[in-house]
Amino acid sequence: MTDTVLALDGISKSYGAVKALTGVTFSIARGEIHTLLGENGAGKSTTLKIIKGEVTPDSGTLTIEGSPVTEFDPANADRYGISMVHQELAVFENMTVAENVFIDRPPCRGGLIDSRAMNARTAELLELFGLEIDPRERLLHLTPGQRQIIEILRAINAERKVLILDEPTSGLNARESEILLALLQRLRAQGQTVVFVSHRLGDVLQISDRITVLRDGAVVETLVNDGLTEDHLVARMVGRVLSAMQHRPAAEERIRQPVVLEVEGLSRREAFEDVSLALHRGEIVGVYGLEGSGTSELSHALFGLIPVEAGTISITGEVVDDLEPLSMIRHGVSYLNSNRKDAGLFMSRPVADNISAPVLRQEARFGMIDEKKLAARAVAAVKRFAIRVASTDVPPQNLSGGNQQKVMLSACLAPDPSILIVNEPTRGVDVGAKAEVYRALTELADSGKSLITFSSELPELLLLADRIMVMRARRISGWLTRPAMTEERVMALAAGTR
Amino acid sequence: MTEATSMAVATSALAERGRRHLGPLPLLVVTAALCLFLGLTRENFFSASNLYSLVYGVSIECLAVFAFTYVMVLREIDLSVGAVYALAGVMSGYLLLEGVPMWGAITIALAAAALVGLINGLLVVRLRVNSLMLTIGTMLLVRGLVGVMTTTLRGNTFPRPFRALSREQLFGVNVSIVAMVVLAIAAILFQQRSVLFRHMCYIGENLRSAVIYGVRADRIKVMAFVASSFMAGVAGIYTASRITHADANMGLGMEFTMITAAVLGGASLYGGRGNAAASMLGLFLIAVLINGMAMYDIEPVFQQFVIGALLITTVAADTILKRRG
Amino acid sequence: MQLGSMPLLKRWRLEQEAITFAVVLLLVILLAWGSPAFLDSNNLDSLQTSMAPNMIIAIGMMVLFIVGLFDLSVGAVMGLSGIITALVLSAGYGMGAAIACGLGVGIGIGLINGLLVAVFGINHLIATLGVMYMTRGVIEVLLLGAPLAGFTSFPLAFTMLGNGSIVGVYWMFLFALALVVVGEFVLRRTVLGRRLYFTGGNHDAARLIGIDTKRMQIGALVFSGFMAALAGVLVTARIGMANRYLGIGLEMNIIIACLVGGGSIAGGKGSAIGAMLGVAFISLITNAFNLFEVPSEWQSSVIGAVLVVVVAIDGILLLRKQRVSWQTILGWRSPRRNSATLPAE
Repeated sequence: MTDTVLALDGISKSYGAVKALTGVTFSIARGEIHTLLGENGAGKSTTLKIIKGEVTPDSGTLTIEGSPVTEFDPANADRYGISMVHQELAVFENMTVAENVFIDRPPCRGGLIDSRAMNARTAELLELFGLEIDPRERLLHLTPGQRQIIEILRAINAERKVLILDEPTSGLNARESEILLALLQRLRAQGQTVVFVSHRLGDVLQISDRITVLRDGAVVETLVNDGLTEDHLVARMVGRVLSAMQHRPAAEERIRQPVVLEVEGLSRREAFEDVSLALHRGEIVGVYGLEGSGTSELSHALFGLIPVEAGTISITGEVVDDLEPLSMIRHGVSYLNSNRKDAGLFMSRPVADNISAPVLRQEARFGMIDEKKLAARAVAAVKRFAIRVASTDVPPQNLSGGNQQKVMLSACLAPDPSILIVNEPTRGVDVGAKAEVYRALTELADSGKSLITFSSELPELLLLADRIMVMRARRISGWLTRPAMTEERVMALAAGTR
Repeated sequence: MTEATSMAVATSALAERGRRHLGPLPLLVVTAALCLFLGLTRENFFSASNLYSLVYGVSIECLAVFAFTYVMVLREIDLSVGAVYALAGVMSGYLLLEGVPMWGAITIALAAAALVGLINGLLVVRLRVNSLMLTIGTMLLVRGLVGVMTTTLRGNTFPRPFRALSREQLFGVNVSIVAMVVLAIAAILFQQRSVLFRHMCYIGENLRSAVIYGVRADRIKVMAFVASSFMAGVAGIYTASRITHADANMGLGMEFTMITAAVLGGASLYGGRGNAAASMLGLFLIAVLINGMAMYDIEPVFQQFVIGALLITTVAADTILKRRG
Repeated sequence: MQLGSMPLLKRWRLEQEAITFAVVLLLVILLAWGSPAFLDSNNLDSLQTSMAPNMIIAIGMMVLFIVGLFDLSVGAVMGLSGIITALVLSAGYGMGAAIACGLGVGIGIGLINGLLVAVFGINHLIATLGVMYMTRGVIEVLLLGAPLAGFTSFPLAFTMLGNGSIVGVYWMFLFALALVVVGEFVLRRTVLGRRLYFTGGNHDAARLIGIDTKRMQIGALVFSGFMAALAGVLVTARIGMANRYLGIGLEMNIIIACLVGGGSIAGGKGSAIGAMLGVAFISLITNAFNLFEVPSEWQSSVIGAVLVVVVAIDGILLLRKQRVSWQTILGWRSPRRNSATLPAE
């Protein structure tokens, strides 16, 4: 066998009750392009964090260059010669391309930065990419795709033993990612070891030597890329088991119910293009897309949180002319945010205050709050969702993720909306609470409410949705309806090239 | 059983609420202790005239700190209060000496003050500029106008009816003291019961959450800036009437006394909380401290040092508590 | 590898500075044309000696802007260091010792600011503001009972620091220009300079690549204190006495000069040349008021207005970059809209 640069053996990691990784074992050979493949939440980013030393595994060993790593700290990446391109951009807008590439060790002459050498070397790198960018250009003037390439150049320039690219093509257009893939192949020819993380099956098959598929925090299989097809990969990525919940019974008559929300030709540059959909009464439409497919921007735009550049949204036949949250609320729409730490909760205000936030005005008389009414509402929500909380005056920051999520859901439901835009309803929630959230959402639909559910967890959508809209590369790539709705078919639409 | 659970939940909710309302108690204790100390060691501290002039002086600033506190609750700041305070005072005097009838002059001056607040508010919500930098700009701008008007006035004494305003009494005390008490009570009710205040806390704590739940953040912010300037204007007119002539140094550095008082009273630079009544108590503590220093013959120049130290200490405490929470 | 052509200003990253320069040039032309007194040697002397210390402080402030901070205590530090220098000189110590004490005060206060901001995490506005008050308090205590124009017996060599000139150009002005050149060089060509930009440009990313951002912040605050003290020493030498009103309100002028000269409160940009041009702009405006005998009270208004305009333009440009439409920015689309809707993506 070829010599091994990096090996994981039986690595496990839990965050509280949530198991992120269980017994992950695979190895990376020198000079190969090794792909980590898996759904969102399959355990790829935790694996990468352990390799970089940012996270200490609970058990198992990580071996780099034949010696086991005993201490995990962020300096490990430097020490062991691993360089990483992050998913989030870590660039400096006011600095030039060259300055961003030579971030840690600029070429110096006599203790001073040698700009000429720096620009020249950067120009060489840019040429490798076939990019016509001036190295003296400031990043501020570059497109997001170009900025991403600059980050990749930074990692390549560092000339490390192992180059990790986490979703490098998600921000790139077709031509740019073509160039990137070609470059990676050239690097491999020079003996560079590359760890590649991507959802794009076409890209993965094109350049990988071996592919390790992760699912539910465990390795499904490490495949040699020899005669593999997209179907092989999809079959291994899907098949997650979810708690024994019943699918929502299929009901053809739902489609015959009146349309409550209709979206036509919604577009926003660099976010999503030409999205149209119709939501019927009592229906749950699921929206699925891998990272960078435009789903998260779409979810914001549907509630008026970001402006759109074209298209309309109509609710019960009436065009909403003023796309912003307040008018969506007036039209009976509520929004559950995907990231409760970011927005959706008031972390240091009492639970009761959180739950009544959207309906304070309605619950008041002459602008004065009736605390008793609010407390009653909060107590009712605590009971309805079995929120485990000592009192309704405890702030959410003291609660577990699942209970925080239930508080947020209670707040969303407070105004008794007829349409709900639900974004990642069970992110960071334990299994028990997940089932409760699913039950609540299904009950809502049964009682005639309409839901658009955005989720990166495919089994969740299959469980909840009547129909699924799949997005790829910022466009709708297809619609699936029960019973034709299977994991394989959704994944093929989301990740495939056909 | 469920009945029992909900009862338990409700009871402990009450207990928790009680705990939260401890808020300004430490400030009250410190102020009372300081008063007691001064009263016991300096014989004239508790004299009626000293106490009255203390309260009277504070009562005027209290008008301004009331709305200023709410701007801080919204996680914004209004550094132009001191300048607007001077503007309204000097401007009403200026207009009077130009022959404008008294109530007309006062109305125009208050409108000018409110206009400054409107500009501050609109720029903050429309252009999303940093209110700190912006209000430093408006502060300088307004200060300049005040300077121009004061120079034109050359220290002329204001007409008698205008001077009489500050001597107006109600229930045997100056009107401003009555206003302070009314405002303090209003603040407590407003904070405890009103939807608007709750919305303000939401905006200050997490603007994006507030927007998701349909709070009109922009409108409330503009209103708060207008109120802050308007109240500063009212206080300024009252002060102008009291000191009887235009003074370019009126309200100099007042914004920082306000910040100190508001933070002492439980407001945070990070928004989301604040108590206008406690801010008033904070102003009172600062006044007592300065009064006490004078009684101990500590040089008045040392006051600046003490206010600076007080500011840093309270903010440091706020920062450390926030970090822990 | 041959690089293509690129406009010089863009290559040197001085576009914004160039605009300021054009405005300054315009002001000079207007003043020279409009007032015969502008090119008078008296006027040029006072311009130089007022600009020089401000330029020195502005370089320090610009470094702070670059790392994403600012310092409200510079005016007070300038005052205190001048007074300390004067006190030490009057006590009979040598010039070197006096200057060292003056500069030491600046470094010490800068260090206090740095610790409050970087270690205790106190908001830099409040920390430097509190320190400003305390420093002013110390000044008053030191000069308690002293006559307004106290401590005037300085050795000639010291006075020459502020008054010496060659062919009509003051030494201190040349010194300030030299500092601008050195500052610009350090910012552009050294690893240290680059780290300052990284710290302010993207704090988290800077930490990720191993920059000790706390040390950068403390260093910048100490530097700013030092520069303010340096200016204080020079001004004291120039006016020949300890002045308790020295530097009152100066911090605002310096901050505005830095904003006008291309700095940003958001951090990550700015240049020493910009600091110089910003100071030139403010000084020329002030000078114009004097020359045209406009009441000095208007100065504050104009400077405030400049700040409001600069801040507003900055805000508009940022919104336009996020592709927010003009209608939305100006708010005439609908009275019901809420502007705070863009999530931080």
